[in-house]
Amino acid sequence: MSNEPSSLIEGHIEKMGIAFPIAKLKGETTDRIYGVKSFPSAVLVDAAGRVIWKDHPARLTSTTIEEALEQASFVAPTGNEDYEALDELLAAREFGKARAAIAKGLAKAGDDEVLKGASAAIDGLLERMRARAQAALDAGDYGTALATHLEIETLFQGDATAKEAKAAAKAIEKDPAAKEELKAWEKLVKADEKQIEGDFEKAGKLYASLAKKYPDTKAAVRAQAFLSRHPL
Amino acid sequence: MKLLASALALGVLAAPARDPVVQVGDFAPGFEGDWYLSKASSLEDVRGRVVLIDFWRTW
Repeated sequence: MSNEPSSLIEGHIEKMGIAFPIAKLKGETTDRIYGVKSFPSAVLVDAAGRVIWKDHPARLTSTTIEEALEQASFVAPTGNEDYEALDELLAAREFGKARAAIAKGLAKAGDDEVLKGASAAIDGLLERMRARAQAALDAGDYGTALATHLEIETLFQGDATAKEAKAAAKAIEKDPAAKEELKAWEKLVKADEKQIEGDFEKAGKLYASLAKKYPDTKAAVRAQAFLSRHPL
Repeated sequence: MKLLASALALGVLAAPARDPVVQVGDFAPGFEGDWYLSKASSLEDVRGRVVLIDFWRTW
């Protein structure tokens, strides 16, 4: 991320042979919001959109990245130009459609290692997401469990998995034990949205109100965590 | 007297505010800009992935 003139950035991209995305920003607002005081500075964001690490980029360890990748709901494209259509589906996280495309491909060529690899990667992702949902449910974190099933439903549209996830989500919504937690969760999501917009004042008000109204919930714990990171 | 009244009016206590600097544990705020070498054009577009944001200058 840089806020320098385009010509300078474009020249730099060419000179250094940069191949990763670059965002050119205006002014210093984003630097300020992210607390950037010196360059280079780096921030690691997890699959849910949360900042999990902040430091000089040279201090980033592979362990930190690997742990974060465990939680990612992403399957790396094959990178093989013969599988461009599949890679587009993977990049768009349309795993239901990807599975259908893979099944078609394997019906024609049952020993296709690339397709088998992609299929295994998608299965692995689904297993990790289901395990997360179950762990959340076991811990009484109904909000996280519900959100995870809904995410599975979205990502696996067109596949039987989506229907199963929808049913699991409905079961949680109907569970009387989940009622309080889900009400708190709804407020939490709104507060999170304000935070993503950069409106920490409004977010703070919403977190404070939910912590007060639903003090015994997992959502309240997350709200309190924000409030202690950003006291008045 | 008028000047003193104006001076007093300016000395109003600001309401307590929260430091809006992003900490570890916060959601990463979105940002606007021109994107190079990228299909994505916002953090929302890359949700589900792990993202490393590197702040730099050409110097």
